[in-house]
Amino acid sequence: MLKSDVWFATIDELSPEIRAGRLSSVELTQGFLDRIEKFNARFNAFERPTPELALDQAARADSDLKSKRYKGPLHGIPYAAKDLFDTRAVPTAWGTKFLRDRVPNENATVIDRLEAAGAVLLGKAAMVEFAGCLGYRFANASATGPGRNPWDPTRWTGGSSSGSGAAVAAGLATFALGTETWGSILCPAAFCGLTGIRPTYGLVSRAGGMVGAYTFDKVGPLARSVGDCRTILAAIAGADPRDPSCATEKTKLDRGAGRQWRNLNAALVPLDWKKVGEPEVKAAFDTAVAELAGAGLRMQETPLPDVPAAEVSGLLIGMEALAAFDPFLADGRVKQLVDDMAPRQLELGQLVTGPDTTKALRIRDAVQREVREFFQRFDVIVTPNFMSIAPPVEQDLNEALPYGDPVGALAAACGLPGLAMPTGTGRAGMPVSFQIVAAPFEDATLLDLGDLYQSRTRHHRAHPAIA
Amino acid sequence: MSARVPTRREKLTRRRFVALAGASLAAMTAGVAAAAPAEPAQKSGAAKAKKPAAPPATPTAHQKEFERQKSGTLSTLKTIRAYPLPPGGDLPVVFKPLRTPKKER
Repeated sequence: MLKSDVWFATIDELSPEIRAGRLSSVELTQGFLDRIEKFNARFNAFERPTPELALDQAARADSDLKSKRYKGPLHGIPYAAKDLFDTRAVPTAWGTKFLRDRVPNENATVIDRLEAAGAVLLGKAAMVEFAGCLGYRFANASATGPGRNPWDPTRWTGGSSSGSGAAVAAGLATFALGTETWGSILCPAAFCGLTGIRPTYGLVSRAGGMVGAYTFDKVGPLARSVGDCRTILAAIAGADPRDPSCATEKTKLDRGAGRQWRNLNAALVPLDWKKVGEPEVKAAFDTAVAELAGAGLRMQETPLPDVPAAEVSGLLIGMEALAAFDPFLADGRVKQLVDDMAPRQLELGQLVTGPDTTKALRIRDAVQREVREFFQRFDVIVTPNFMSIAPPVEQDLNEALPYGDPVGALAAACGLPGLAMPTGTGRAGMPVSFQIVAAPFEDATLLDLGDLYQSRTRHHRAHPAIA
Repeated sequence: MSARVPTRREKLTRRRFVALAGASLAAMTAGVAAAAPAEPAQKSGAAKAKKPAAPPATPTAHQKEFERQKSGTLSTLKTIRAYPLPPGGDLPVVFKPLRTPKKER
């Protein structure tokens, strides 16, 4: 019988136990599979557990250890993958019902890389249909129903990596892979009280993953600490001939590889908390700011570049998504999606001309230049992840999240990396999160700064009581 | 932190980007889309025996939502079209010709 704390242990904690032979991967994996069996229906975390594959990989991990073939810190660690990463012989349905028979014959690159690192795939995590790229207004826009938050199942997990968030927060996996076009890693990390990193666009291969928006999608982990995110990112990052958009230049992710935090200038984005947002969230965010300031980070309130990043990102994501899902729009299967506005995106698309799209691409370039100039004055942006806690699952998301996301818009337009970290609780004991965003390929700076924050706080170790 | 009134651009919410959808040769009628039935749910663990999390949209609510999204798209287009750029520009669109691999002899 395993101790109950293994379900919420970090990779840093589990890995030495596995390596030393005090914990077998099979035992750990079977324990997680039992919990998935018991709790999955409560949270809609998994679209499809893969117990046979998991136990096979776990047995191999244990056997490799006995043969002195240790593969690194992910050796024998169980994880979940969003159900848009292709997995050989395992259905990959992209959050829809009508693709449940879609069985890939090869793995996505990130799945292969995690397998090579010795990680154990517990199953495919539930997700918002098509990762939300054709739009959604309600949390139930998923083949498996709404992602239910382990902190309070009447509230949403966030999306579109809803199951990835639920699985880790509920202690059904040690970490999970998610993807983000605009907000889909940081959002579930925020609402579920997890640490998550959205890497720089192109740092991690998307090959074998569903395309939602070709020039916006990123792959990243949701985990229990910055240290774990670093370990996972190091395993999955790097050039890939299967993904031409992948950066070929190696990005150092080791501890200390980022800019020295004592020399960093952080930008604080002014926010109007009087009109929107919750005072408890503001208070929690203020404590994070105070903690970072106490550690010596220089911070200055400053407006973001005044550029139409939201319009550019929104328009281009919409265009790219319509192109990506064209076959389903053409044959009418898009009408089977839960969100009944998805088919009508075609009508909205007709309002956009070819020159509009090309001009948006040109403006994106101008936005990138402005943002580059901004990052010559500031190294990072520190801002709340959301101004409110996770909304109830039945609430219209347009009403539940009525405020802007200017940092998210810039990040989407420019491919900026972002790190989400918990910073206490708000109303009803629900997690509150803040984000740190950096210039492209400054992922290590984020991780180092995150390490600093989490070395001084314990918010990231809080987890819900699941019984 | 000082208060600042958000600009119109900043009011574009995380969710509103979904209204900014793309071009297609085919247009669909509102009636067909609104009436499109979803496939019956398969009895897979998580989904069964759960009440729907959101009420089904009535045709009126559906059309109202469409008009809201359309308004968002038009607002976006207004910003994009009004944004001043010099003629030509700095080649923001990257195109790379693919080399043909040499045949092995």
